[in-house]
Amino acid sequence: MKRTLLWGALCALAVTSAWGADLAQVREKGVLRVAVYKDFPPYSYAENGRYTGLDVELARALAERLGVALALEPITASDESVQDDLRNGVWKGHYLGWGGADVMLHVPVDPALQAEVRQVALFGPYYREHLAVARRTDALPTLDSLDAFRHTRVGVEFRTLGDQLLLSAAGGAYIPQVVHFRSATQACAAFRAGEVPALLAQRGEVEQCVGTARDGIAVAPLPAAQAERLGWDVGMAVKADDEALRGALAEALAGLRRDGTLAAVLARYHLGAELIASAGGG
Amino acid sequence: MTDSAFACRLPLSRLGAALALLLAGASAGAGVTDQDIANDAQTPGDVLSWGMGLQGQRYSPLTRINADTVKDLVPAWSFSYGGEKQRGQEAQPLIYNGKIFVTASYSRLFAVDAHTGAKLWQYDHRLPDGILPCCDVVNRGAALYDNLVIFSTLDAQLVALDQDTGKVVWKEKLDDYKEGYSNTAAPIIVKGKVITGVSGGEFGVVGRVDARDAKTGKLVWTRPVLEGYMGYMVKDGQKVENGVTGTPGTSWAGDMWKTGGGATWLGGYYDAETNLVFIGTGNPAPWNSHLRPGDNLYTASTLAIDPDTGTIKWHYQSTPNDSWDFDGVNEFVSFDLKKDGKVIKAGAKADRNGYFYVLDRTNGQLISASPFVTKQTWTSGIDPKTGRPIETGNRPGDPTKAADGKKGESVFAVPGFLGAKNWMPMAYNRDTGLFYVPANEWGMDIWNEPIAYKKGAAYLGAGFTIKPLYEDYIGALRAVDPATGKIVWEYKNPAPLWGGVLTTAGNLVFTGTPEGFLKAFDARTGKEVWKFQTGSGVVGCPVTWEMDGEQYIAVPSGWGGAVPLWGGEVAKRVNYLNQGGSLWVFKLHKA
Repeated sequence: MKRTLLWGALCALAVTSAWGADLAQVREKGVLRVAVYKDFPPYSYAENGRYTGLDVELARALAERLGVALALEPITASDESVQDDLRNGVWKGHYLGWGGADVMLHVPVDPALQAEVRQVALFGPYYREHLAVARRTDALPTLDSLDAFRHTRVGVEFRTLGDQLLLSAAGGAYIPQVVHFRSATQACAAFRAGEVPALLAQRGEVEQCVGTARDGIAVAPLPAAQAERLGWDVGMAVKADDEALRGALAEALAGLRRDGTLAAVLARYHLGAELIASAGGG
Repeated sequence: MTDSAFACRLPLSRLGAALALLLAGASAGAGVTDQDIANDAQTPGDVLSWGMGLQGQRYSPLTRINADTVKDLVPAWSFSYGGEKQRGQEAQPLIYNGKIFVTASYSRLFAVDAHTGAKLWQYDHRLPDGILPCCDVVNRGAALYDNLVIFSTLDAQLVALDQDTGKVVWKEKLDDYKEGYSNTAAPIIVKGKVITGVSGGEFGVVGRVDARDAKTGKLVWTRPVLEGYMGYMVKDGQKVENGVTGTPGTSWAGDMWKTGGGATWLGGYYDAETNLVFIGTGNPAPWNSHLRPGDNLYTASTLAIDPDTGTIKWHYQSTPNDSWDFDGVNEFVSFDLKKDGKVIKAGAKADRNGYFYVLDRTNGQLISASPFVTKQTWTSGIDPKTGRPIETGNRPGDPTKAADGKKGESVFAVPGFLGAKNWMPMAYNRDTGLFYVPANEWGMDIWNEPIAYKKGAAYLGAGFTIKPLYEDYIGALRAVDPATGKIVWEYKNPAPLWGGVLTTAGNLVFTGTPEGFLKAFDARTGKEVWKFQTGSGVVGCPVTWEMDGEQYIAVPSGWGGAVPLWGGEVAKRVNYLNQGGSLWVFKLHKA
C-alpha cells in the first residue's frame, strides 16, 4: 500500500524535463517509439524472440499509417499503479534510463485517471476490456453467480481486480477455493492442465487461453453485479503538450477502424468486433 | 553512571585501541576472522559489522571525543561519490586495516584510505533494465570477512569483493529481480556464514532469511518466514527439507500465505549469548487486510533464528493482520536490562507501529511495551499477558466495498505508513542505560478510491497521504529508558529523521538530519553540543573508531530514501533539500 502514491508524488514535484518528440520530430526521425507492457499476453509479449500481440500489431499499423518505422519500448509494469507506468513509459522515462516513448498503448481511457495525471493526454480508445470466466462445463455447467465459487476452485492471477472481487465477495466465503498464480499465463496453464476447473482473468487473456480448443469449455463475462460497470476502455497516451502527435494518432486509429484493420487485429486474438471501444472517449 | 566509571573506562579503551592496532598490524593480510567480528563492539580500532558489533548497540567505548571536547570536532576530509548517481546515502561505513568501505546509492561500493580520504577503488554494480526499486536506490552497508567485503544489490545479488582490489571474488543471486526481488540491507557474518534477508515491492515477494558460506557464497540454509513454506538446508551439495515454517493453515485463509509478503528487508542482528539471529519481517500482502483474515504469521514480527540450522526458535508479532503498513522489520537490539535488582537478557525494538518493545531475548516473552511517539490511534495499548495489541477499530476500510463508484470515507490513522520509526537504526548506551530512538510524528489519511488502474487494468485501490502531526517538527530523537518506557529527553527536528544513531562512552549521541547537519547531543541531557553542515541531507549511519591515537567520526551525506518520494504536507517540509553523495570524516582539532 505504501507505494501507491510513491514516485507519483515525485512526479508531481518534478517538471517535465524533455518536451519529447512531437509529430514533426517523429516524422523527421522516421521512427515512432511506442511503449507497451512487457510480458503481457495477448496484448504485448515476446514469442520466439520477437515481440507480438494485439497492442504490438496495432502499434505497427499506426506507425504504418504515419509513414514511419516502429520502435517498440517494452516497459516493466509498476506493481502499484498506471500512474507510475505513464511516468516511466511516456512523460519522463525511468531514472535507470528506459522508457520515455512517444506514445504508450494499453492505457485506460478514463476521465478520473486523466484528472490525476495531467502530464499526459489519454485518448484513442481501441478496445473495451472486462473480466471473464472460462470454465469446464462438466465441472461447472452453469455460472449464474459468483456463488459457484463457494465450492469450485478457480484460478486467478494474484493482485488483480478479479482476485480482489473473489477475495472480498460474500464475506470471504470464496477464499478457500481461490487458487493464486503469479501471472495469467500460469493460471491459464493450470486451467488447461485441468488443475482448476475455472479461470478468471481479463477477457483478452481468457480468450487467448482458450484459443480455438473450445470443446467442453464456456467463456462468459464475470457474473457479478459490479462486473459490467467495471469494464474499461483501453487506449493510448502521449505527453500532454504533444497535441499534433495526438491528432495524427487519433486520425490514424480512425482510419484503422474504417478499413477494418482494428477488427482484424482483435479477431486474431479471438475478440469480436463488439469489443472495439466506441470512439469518442478521450 | 558515575564519573569514576567514566574515568576508568579511558585506559581500558586505550588498551583496546592499542590491542586493535596491534592486531591490525599483525593480521594485515590475514583478514577479518569470526573472533574479530565477535569482538567488534570492544575493539575501537575498527568497525567490522552492521550495528558496530553484532548485537547492534551502535555504542563505542571511545571517550576522546566527548561532551566537553566535541566543540573542537572538525572535518578531517570529505570524499565525493561523484557521478550523477546521487539519491539517498543510507549506509553505515566499515573501518578495517586503514581502509573505509562504504556503500552508496545505485549499488556502488567505495574503498577509501581512512587516513587521507583518497579513493582506493570503486565498484559499480551493473544494474539491469527493468528493476523497479520500491523505495529509492539506497544501500545500507556491507559486511567484512576474511579478505572480502560483501554487499547486496538492487537486482537481488550478493557480491563479495576483494578488500584490496575491489575485484569480484564471488557473486550469488539471492533471487530473481524480475519477480520483484531486491536487497538493500547490510549483510551480517555469523560464524563464517553471511546472513541476509530479501526486499522488494509488494508484488509477490516472500520474506526469507538465507545463510551462505561467507568465503564461497554457497547456500547453507534458507528459511522462508511465511507459515506453510518449507525451509531447506544444503547437505553434501543437496538441498534437503528442513521443516515447514510455522503451523500451516492456522493464520492465513486459503492459499493467501503463498504470496503473503513479510519481506525481511532490513536484515538482522546476532547475539552470541543466546546464539540467535534476530530479524524482523515486513507487512503482509496484499495490503488490504480485509482480503486476508487471520494473524498472517510471521509477518510484522521479530524472529529469533538459530544461525546453525535456520530454525525459528521464537517469534513475536507486533502487528497481527496488519492494516497500516506497519512492517515489523525494525532492528532488535540485545542488551542487559537492569530491573528490580536483576539483570535480564533482553532485547528492544522500536516498531513502525509506535511501540517500544522490550522482550526477553531468550524466549521472546514481552517484558514491556510503551509508546515512543506522542500519538497512535490503532490501539489503546499492548496486553501485557498476551503480548497482543488492544485494537481500537481504527482500520482503513475495505476498498472493494467502494465498488459503488464513490470515493469512500477517509480514515485518519497514526502512525503513518512510513512508521513511528522507519529503517534508521537506534543506539543503546551502556553507560546511560538509554536507547536513542530516531522517531517521526506523522499520520495518514486513507480513503477508498472508486477505481484505480494497474498494468492497464482496473483495480480497487486506496488513496492515502501522509501528514505531519505538528507544525514545528516531524522528527524527534528520543532517549528511552528501557526499564520504565519513559522518555528521558527529546530533540525535535523540523524534517523527518531518517538517519542512524551512534552513541559513545564520551557521553555523546550522534545523528544526522535531512537539513544536512550531523549533530551531537549530550547523552544524559539531550543538549545539542555540536553540529556540522555537510551540504546535503544526512540519512546515513555515523560510526566512530580510533586510529593513530586519534578518534574519528565518519558519516555519509546525501539526501534521499523514501521520504522525498511522497507528496502531501510532508513534501512541503522537505522539497527544498538537495541531493548529494559524499563521505565526511571528522576528528578533534589540534590547537
